Amino acid sequence: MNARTKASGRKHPVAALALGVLAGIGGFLDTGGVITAVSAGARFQFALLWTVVLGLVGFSVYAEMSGRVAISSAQPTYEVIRTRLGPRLGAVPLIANVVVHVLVLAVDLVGMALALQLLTGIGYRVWVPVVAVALALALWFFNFSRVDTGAALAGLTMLVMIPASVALSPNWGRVAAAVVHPNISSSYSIPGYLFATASLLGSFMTPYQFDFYSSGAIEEGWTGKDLGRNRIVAVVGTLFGAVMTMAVMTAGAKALYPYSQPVDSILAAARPAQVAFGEIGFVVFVVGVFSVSVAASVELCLSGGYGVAQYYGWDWGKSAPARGAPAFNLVFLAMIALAMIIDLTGVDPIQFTVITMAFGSAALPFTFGPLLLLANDSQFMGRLRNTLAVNVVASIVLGVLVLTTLATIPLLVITGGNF
Amino acid sequence: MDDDGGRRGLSMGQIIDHAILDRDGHRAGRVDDLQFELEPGRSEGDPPRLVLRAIVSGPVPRPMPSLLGGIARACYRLIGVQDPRPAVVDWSHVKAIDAFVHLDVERVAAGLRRVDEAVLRYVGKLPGAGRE
Amino acid sequence: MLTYSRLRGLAVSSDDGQPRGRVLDLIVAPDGEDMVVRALLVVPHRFALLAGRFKPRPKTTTIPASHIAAIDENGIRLRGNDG
Repeated sequence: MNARTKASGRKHPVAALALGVLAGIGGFLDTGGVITAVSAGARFQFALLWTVVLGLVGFSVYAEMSGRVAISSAQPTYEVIRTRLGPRLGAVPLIANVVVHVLVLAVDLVGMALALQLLTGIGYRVWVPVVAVALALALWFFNFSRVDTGAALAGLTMLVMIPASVALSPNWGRVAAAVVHPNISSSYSIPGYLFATASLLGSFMTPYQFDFYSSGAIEEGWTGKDLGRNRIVAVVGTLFGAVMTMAVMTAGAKALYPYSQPVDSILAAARPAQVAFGEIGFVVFVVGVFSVSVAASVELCLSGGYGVAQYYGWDWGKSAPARGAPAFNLVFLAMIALAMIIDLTGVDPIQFTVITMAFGSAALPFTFGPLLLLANDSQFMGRLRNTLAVNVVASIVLGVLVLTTLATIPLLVITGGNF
Repeated sequence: MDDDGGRRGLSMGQIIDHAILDRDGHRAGRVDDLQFELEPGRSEGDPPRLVLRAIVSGPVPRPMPSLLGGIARACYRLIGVQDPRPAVVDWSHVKAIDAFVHLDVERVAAGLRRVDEAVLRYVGKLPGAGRE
Repeated sequence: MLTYSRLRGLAVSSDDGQPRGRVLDLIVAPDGEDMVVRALLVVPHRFALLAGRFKPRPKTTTIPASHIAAIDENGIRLRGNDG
């Protein structure tokens, strides 16, 4: 971005709210979010619903912090992290993020391909290169925001999961209890349960939303006046994603848990919508998965570009044509190519998703740690420093995530990447 | 009064790693390193003077272990940077320092946009690269 | 030419070889046409150097540059009279 150019005409408040809501939905619910949430419901019924609450709190606290850091320093979060931590330490969050971004992008490409397989009957391996090339072309020829907004609007079809979960009429008392009270039945395998927890947390709080969100805020020229809006956006967007995720998990629990049916394919993930509303439910769900995955892919590509370009001080910006920010564009094209290659090596889509999500949560402390430090840095933040309350909540979330990070590899070995 | 023992002045920590903007306000990399020159004292018995001379910015700005440096240079060549070395910009071009370091030179002329320029050579040729 | 990346972290010792710490930062100020290093901000050990990345205002000792006797690859040597 040209740092001196002020945002050309400030966006309508609704558009700004949309930025946060999109980040919230894209974050909570893309291919990874859907598959892990349905799987968790199918395997552990309501017993993991509490993770959505933790994810909701963690995501909104850190999203708000990231917006506030951007507003008070007039620079996106990763720009500040790089400046503060220097080239070596600053490379740690960058590398962790780009690796996770590529893996999650591979998950979303495979999600789109699987959705197309269900709709057309043609195998997903044929669709992987098609969606990869289509994504690259769409990002190249159209404005990022337009692709993202369009996809996220189409993704609202995922709302079908809310009536679906109602139609499957779960015992709401038990659902409510599970939301606030972790309950592990003796029949559950503990490593499996913990691995599922890691996977879910990773699927809710993938690091890409934070660079996406703060870079977007800078590009739109947010200032101190937007602090209140930042808070509303962070909370509303996340809440939206969280409610949808709970609906997906609850519906998965109702439709699949009683039959101890594991989610071994996207077809199984679509079962709850199908049970609730028949063929129409099935198609709406599949279209929804496809759309949220497109939205997430766009955000992933943007974030990867932001991270690398901001690290090196290159031009960046979602509204700039390729000629204005060539290396930024090269980064996301390379990411798409790598993700496609990973998908074509013949990984098992569902298992790959669950493992990637666990890695995603393992990578989170590398982003959240520096972010928390920055938000307490009076030099950058001035009077907008974190309050004690924010610090307490953020530290608890970070503590849980650090434990998750330490446990991920052992749990992966014990469970073999299944839960 | 210099009773703070020389603490007043410009801290290099306020400059190193900061993003650079050129005379047009365009992004021009980061301050990857700073060069100093050690001069002998002006007269007999004076302490040596450490004079700030230049900003270093761009590909492989600091000496690296040979293997790592070789890998880094190979990566830059792969994306089209033929001669991966940093630009050295004389300190006299620094005009202002805030969250950014502002220079009075143009970024391409100063060699501060070598990666973007190298990538542009082939990316810019693709159809649609200049879309509005 | 000396670079900041070389100077940062360099060991500082007094003329009797007593270690005084490591350079965390340099303060420069105009001196005629030039910008000249006025002071070294020194921390006690390597670990504090790393901690300096995370803390906004780390505790440092300020050593005026006029106390510098010599600088080479191995470190910065101060004059004896710097107390």
